[in-house]
Amino acid sequence: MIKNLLKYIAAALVPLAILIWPYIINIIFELKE
Amino acid sequence: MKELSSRELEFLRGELELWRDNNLISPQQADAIKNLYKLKASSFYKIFTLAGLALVALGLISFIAANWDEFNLNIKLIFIIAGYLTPLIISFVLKNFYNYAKTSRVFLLFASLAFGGGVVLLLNIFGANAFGKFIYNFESGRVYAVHTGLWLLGVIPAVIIFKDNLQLILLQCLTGLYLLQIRAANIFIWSWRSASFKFNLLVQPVRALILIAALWLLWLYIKKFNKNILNRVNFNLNLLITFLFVSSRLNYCFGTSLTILILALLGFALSVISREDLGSMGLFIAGALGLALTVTDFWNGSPLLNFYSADVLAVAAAVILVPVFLWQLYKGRFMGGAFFILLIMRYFFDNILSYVSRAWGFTLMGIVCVALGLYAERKFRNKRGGKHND
Repeated sequence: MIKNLLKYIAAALVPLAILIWPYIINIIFELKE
Repeated sequence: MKELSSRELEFLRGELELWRDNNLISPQQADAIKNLYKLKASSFYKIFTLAGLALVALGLISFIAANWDEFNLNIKLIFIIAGYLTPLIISFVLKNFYNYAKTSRVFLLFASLAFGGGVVLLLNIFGANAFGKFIYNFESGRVYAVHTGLWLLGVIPAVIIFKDNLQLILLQCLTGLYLLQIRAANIFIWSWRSASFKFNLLVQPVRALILIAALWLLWLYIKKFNKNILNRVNFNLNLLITFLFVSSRLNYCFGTSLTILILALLGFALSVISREDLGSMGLFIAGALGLALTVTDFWNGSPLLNFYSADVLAVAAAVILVPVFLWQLYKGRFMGGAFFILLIMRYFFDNILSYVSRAWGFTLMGIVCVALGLYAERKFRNKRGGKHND
């Protein structure tokens, strides 16, 4: 079951990164300004 | 214990009584057989529960959609991520705690679809400010290609990790869409277009080639683990995407008529060298495109017109096709005979239509088709009847 959980987490990493990274860079840009 | 519906169980009970009363089986045996089966839980309640869940999900989605503009950026992002993670978690729970492998896969597909929705929403949010324009280059027609591109990037890990045919089908659809989009936006045509470098143009679209190669590798990889009918669907979709890509590149480099000629030759080569199903596909391509080449108009703008007139080329195509079709028929491919008949009918009907009025032409065509159909059916029936008597 742990192996399965790891599988799901690994599969979710790239999509989550795609969904989150513009948001993070947006915050960094706002902080710079 | 095997599960049966109540109607099946009723039937079995009746039959068991009949056998017992006729002394075919003992009462003990009848009981033992009866104990092998049990009543299946009614699927009605399951459907009811699922419909209820779907309604709740729809309600939630409409609530969020109706108030979308009111939410601030953080809450929007949370909704988007929750929309992706919820089906993913449901899929995990169903697989590990309830052992519903198939339903789990369906929810996995939902997760990938929700991810795509999330990407679209996200790009709409960030596209509104200058930052979004900076990252995603919203000026050109690329904008929708960016949606699709990010979406397919997110699906690739799921395909590799879960080895799921459904995910691969989604990925293939997205890749096809992506290739169409970047083609429409003229993105992968950035280099010189000169006659001596035409073959370079074939390998210029690096992204498309990488994606297509990846699709074939993923198909090979998944095929090793799964043995089901969807492998075949994956294979056919890969073939379709590759074929469309190659034909669009050839069309760009050499023009329509030469593209059709090259593809027909490729299809013919495939029908010669390949095993049964792939060879039939090759023959289909060669036959359909070859028939197109017997039409004079298809040779318009061809470089070959410098040497021969369009009429000569069309007739030459027909002359070459006839032995090819007959040879394929001789080899046992019925399709070769069908294309041969189509070729004859094409000339027949074209000539009829140019000499008589439309009404007469169509009526004659109809009568000939009906006669051919009746003849073929009768012949087929006789053949089957003969086999049956053996």
